Amino acid sequence: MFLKVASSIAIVVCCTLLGMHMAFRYKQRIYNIRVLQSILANLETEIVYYSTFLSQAIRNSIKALDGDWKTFFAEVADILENKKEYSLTEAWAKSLNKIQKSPYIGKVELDIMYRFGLQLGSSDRQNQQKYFKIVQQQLKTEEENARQLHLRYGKMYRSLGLLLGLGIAIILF
Amino acid sequence: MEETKVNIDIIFKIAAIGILVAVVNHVLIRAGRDEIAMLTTLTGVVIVLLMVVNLINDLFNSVRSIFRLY
Repeated sequence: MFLKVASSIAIVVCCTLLGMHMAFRYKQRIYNIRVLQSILANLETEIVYYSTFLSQAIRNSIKALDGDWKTFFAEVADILENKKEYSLTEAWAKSLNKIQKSPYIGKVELDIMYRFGLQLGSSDRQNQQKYFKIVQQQLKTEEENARQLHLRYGKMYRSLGLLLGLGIAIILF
Repeated sequence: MEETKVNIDIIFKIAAIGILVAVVNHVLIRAGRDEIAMLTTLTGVVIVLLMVVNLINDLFNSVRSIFRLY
């Protein structure tokens, strides 16, 4: 009897944690998009006004931030500094591939950043500034979308986890 | 005596499953996933049927033996 109760409690707790994790993904995605926006804002200043080298500009702009996109940009800067045979586009695509599997990053941001990588460093300052503006706008829209998804599904996953745990416990009891 | 106890148990179980499925259904509909809500309801019905199928079999057997319909 004691074993039964203990295992039921374990099932319920595990399922609740799983549901909370699923809900947390939505929240973390919003956070990641916000971080990406500030990284890009910093990068824009570095490129357009200071004209630093790209790897150094990236290092400067991710300094005070964290999250999944920081690893991405650090990776790009690493590749640019250490392996001279890579072009920026290749470094960008390679790092994007690496970060792709993170559960806290949506496909839309990946697409936006992939297209941005093709244009980064391919034209003069005014044009670069335009690209930065476009990306910021797209990211803002995506942040709004992510926020709505979080409102809609975050709560659902949290309660579904608990309820499914209870269901399994009752059926097995 | 043992038989009745088991039956009472299964009734409570079915009631609990019914309440749970109702709540899950409500949550899913509120989140706008009507198809999955439908699927959960169906799953609940199937699970309860699987639990009850033996009892229904017993019932039919009893009816047959009472009215001598072999």
